[in-house]
Amino acid sequence: MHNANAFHHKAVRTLLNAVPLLIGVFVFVLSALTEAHARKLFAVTTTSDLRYFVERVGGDKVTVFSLMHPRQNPHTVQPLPSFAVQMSRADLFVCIGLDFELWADQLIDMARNPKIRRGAPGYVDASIGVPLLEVPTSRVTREQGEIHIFGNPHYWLDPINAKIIVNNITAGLKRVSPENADYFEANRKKLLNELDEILKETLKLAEPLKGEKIVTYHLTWSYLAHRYGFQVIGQLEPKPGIPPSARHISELVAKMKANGVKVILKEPFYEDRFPKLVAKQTGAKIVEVSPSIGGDKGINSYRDLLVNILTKLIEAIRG
Amino acid sequence: MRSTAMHVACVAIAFMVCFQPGVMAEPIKPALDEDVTVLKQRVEELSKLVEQLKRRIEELEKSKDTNATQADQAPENELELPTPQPIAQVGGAGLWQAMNPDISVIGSFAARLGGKNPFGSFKGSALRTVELALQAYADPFGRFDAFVEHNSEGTHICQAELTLLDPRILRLPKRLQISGGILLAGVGKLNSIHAHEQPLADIPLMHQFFYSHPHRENHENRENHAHNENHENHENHENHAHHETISLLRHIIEHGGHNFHGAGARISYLLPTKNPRHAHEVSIEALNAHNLTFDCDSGRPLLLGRWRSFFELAPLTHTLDLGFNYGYGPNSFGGNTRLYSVDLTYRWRPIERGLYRSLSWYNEFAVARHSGNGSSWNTTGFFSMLEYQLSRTTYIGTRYDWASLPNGKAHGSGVSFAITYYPSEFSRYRLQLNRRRFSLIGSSWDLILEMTFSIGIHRPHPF
Repeated sequence: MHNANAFHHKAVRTLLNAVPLLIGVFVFVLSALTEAHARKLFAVTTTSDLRYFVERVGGDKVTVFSLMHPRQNPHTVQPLPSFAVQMSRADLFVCIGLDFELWADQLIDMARNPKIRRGAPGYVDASIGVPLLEVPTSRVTREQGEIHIFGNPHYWLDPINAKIIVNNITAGLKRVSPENADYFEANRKKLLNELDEILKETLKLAEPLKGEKIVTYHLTWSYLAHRYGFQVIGQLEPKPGIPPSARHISELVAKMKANGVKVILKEPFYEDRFPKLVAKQTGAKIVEVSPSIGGDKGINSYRDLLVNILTKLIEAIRG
Repeated sequence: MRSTAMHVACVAIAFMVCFQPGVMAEPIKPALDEDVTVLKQRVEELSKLVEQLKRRIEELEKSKDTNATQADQAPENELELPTPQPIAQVGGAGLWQAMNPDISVIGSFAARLGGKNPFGSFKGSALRTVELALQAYADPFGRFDAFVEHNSEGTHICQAELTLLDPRILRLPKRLQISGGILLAGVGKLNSIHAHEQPLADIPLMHQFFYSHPHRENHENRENHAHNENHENHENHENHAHHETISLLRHIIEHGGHNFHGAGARISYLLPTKNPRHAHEVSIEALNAHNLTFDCDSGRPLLLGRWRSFFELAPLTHTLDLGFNYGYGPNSFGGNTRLYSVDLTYRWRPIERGLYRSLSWYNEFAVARHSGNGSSWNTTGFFSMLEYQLSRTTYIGTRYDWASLPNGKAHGSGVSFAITYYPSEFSRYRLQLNRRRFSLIGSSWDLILEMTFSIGIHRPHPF
């Protein structure tokens, strides 16, 4: 009887010890079955703008997931574990590059997906080949704030740079799905022609902005200003990523008055207190507009994005 | 006679001309036809070329119109990717600089007032901790992260981890990740956060009690005590244990605690999920660790298992992180310890104003079942910590602690309040007040003023 009990206890103990192993086997089989499902090409982009371009080139051959919300400040993005899960099954990962997404490498490591690691066919840095602005020309230190060592990364707000983005994305799609190369190429040509038309239209629209001087909250708008011929003469942030200070604000107000600045351009994710303070002292108008597709209501395409920004700026300058 | 000779000569010449081999082989008419054909072909080719040039001129004129006011040239519509720009001048010494790891130093100074009342005694200011971090990809398959920490107890490596990023080289499934080296143990959310990233100036009392390194003096005392055990009576034994516990408590209060780390290996698996807003990960570790809960001096490793589930309750805004942890290994009491713990972390950060507002709420509860010296006992620990962001630069935080020492002979509880100011992402000032109550030694106050700075490139820690 004693022996039978001992045997019984031993069997139960052995069974209990085997439970974690059984769970492990179950989980492994489950994941293998999930992976086995055939599916469309899956692309993960960091921003909604990149998502738009991948969707336009990829058409119905691609499903796209954007990590960031279009009204989200890229500097406060949290690299959530759920992002890593999406990236673990991605065929293509498209990012702005130039250290815009400092959290991206962490997520790529967490995702355990060799297809989208730097240098792999599925990794697309959309900035390759973009003529960059504000590239540091002297030694870079933290004294300069949250500086981007490769140059300003907000390059997508120039339609000519958008064409480079489209080319980079098409090349990436062709690498991961060569059998659909002709389809992607046809979509690319169509989109590039469309971007040419957008450039023509917006250059004409932005004529009233030529030579105007504005102030922005952050260095987001340099490429837009460069393309459409207006000038950004200062930022509310004393240095990139450093909150406004009383001293800097008083200097900025004096500069704005001296230059007759009529507009303060800011993104929705920055606070209103300092822009309102400066606007009150200078009589300038605050233009709040999102720099990304989907950030403002009804803005669902690249053309909408540029027309929306430029129209709001023109309205503010005309008073 | 002369005319006859002339005739003969003419006939001879005509004969020679007519019977010349080339003339005989290629009649004149076909040769001319061929020349005409060749010329026609050339004309055709030239016509095509002219057409192409005309089209090109039209394209260029069209492009010129489009960019009439632009200095820049649009890229060609043919898919010719521009040449990537060099990101660094490499060559010679530059190559070595380009291959340097990311190096950062994070230092923390603290001034502390402590004692029976808030301003009882000045404990002095000291460089509390300095963390040197070296992080780099070792090769295409692995990454190495090393963190060396110097604090009041000396210098030690708190993490030196080689992570295999592409397990397919070992023919393992791609969702597996293998790490080896000195690892931060997978026991709760907060244990994976380095000292400089902690929401308060010190780690929770539960972590201090459970995972602090054995106090050297206590460790030696215990060994001496065991040696002389047979010669001491029961009363002396109790007194000795009592003094040892008080000494341990004072040491922990004075020096703070440590994250739970040890040398070993971890294998983790990221589970597939159809919901893009969920993540589940399971990990198993075998570690050689020495702390108040586990002591692997016996040569047996400690086994740890963790299940982590992450949910975005509202996309990107409200998140819940839930972890179940289990540990089994030898302890310093001559037996084994089983550790069960649950951690729950809720975070909120609004999408639009995430730069100015956020909230993090960390909770952890642990029960440790110890055996040794012919008996068994349970110890528990708990903390709940809340951190709220008031503005872009200012945070407030509070924490409630309750924990018992693994030897079961003392416990402590406390409340902490802190205010933190970040002038930039790279420096921080924090003022914290601790009110704690301990069995055996009574209550204490602590007022900590901490200044933290960071230089160099420090990669973001996992969320």
